[in-house]
Amino acid sequence: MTENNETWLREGLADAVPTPPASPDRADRALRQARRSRRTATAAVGGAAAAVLAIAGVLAIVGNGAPADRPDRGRDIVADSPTDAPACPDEPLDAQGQRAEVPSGATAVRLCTGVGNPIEVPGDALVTGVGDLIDTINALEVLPDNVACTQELGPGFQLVFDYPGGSPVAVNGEVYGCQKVTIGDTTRTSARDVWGRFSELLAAQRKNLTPPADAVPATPNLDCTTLPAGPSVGRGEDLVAAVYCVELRNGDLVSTDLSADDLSALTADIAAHTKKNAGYVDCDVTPPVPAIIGITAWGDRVGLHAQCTNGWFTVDEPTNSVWNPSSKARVILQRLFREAR
Amino acid sequence: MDHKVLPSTAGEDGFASFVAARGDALWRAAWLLTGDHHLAEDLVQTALAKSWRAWSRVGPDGFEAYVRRVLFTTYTAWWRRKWNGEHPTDVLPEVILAQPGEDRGDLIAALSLLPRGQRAVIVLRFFEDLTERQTAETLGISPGTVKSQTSRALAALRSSPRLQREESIDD
Repeated sequence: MTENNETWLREGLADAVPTPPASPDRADRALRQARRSRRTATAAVGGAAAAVLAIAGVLAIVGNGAPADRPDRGRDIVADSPTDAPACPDEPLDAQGQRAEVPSGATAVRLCTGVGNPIEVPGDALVTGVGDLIDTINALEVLPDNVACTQELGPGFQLVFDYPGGSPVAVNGEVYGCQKVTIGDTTRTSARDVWGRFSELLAAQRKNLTPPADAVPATPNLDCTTLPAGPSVGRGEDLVAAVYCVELRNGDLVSTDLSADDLSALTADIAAHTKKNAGYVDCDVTPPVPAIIGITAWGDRVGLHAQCTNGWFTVDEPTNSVWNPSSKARVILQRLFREAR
Repeated sequence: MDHKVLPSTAGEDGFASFVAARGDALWRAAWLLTGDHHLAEDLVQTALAKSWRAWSRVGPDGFEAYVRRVLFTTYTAWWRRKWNGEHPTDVLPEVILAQPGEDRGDLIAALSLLPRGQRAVIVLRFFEDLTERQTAETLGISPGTVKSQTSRALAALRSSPRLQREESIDD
């Protein structure tokens, strides 16, 4: 676009916007809306406490279950149904309060959307290794008060810990900037480590369980516009259905479904050739830009995006995990590129 | 007698001052996104309600950028949910393209026909005057995607029937 046209567009937009209507109570209404959201979320979680108690009744209870106690570590509770833990609240809970650590004794923890860009929320809660996650969070370094953080906005999550007979405890994570992890009035770092540990624990839990029958629709309806909401704890190596997508130079999106053989070969390659903390791979590349969009057996939507012309795919943004396809996998990917329509 | 301002009151006062000073600017961007006075106000209210608890943490200097990011990501999240199992539409059904007696302009009509992701990129790049990288950070997408979205949006505006009566934007 020429400079004259850019000027025309800028001036046109500026001239077209009408005068805003008077709104003298805009701040008051925003504060009331924020408080209403917090009350609604707290009531929703409190109402589900009966479900937590019902689950606790069939579990091996450690200690007396009160949040202030510290039961033996390593004797975590195993539940039969991680999908029965209380659901994520509609809005992030207010995580402020007079505490510096997550109390022990939680029986389940949900990964929910927090403050920031959305994440792909898993359908199942973590009910094994919850103590391990709590230890991980409580061992994080406290962030100094005078640290300067970059002011971008990225994915935000909230971990909601549930306690038998007690109120939930929320921990906020920001997978951007200073990677803050906020518990009550204490800010620690890094959120990336918490995300990574939760992902590992959930993967280990899932190995011993069968996914719910309805986690994946009979026809998953995968296409290049059905993107995950954000970063996903679902792993590329666990995809059960996927589509290969390419954004062309003219802006068109073309795709081809992955056959069972191709999916098997590529997921094995992802498992073998993915590295964490592999570095920032956004090379600001212009199209064609390939991606693989898929779904795991647990219903997690996953997006693997190639951001550079070296053929690498980002498989998990929070942990900077990157898949460097083997030469055999690249042959498959190049064929998929040719087949995409 | 000493008067002590409680932290929460001081925070709310600062937040209210910010909203009084910059709320209208946020509304203008929201209007370009939604094309409707009431939807624009809803979007601004939602963004402010989501952002207010970050006021003391982010501070007055960075708060407008923070709220803008929440506003635009809220808007595009509405758009993403449209693609998840529902029948996707590119235009919000509530958007009124022209009001009797109002001179909306062909440019706004053409803008309203863009998919929401492209609309967000155009508003950030050419109304808010952000760079490609700043736009990418605001929307949580890559600069490459910003580039391609911008290119597609400009191509759509160039060929929009709403703008054919205007001087050609290729001139």
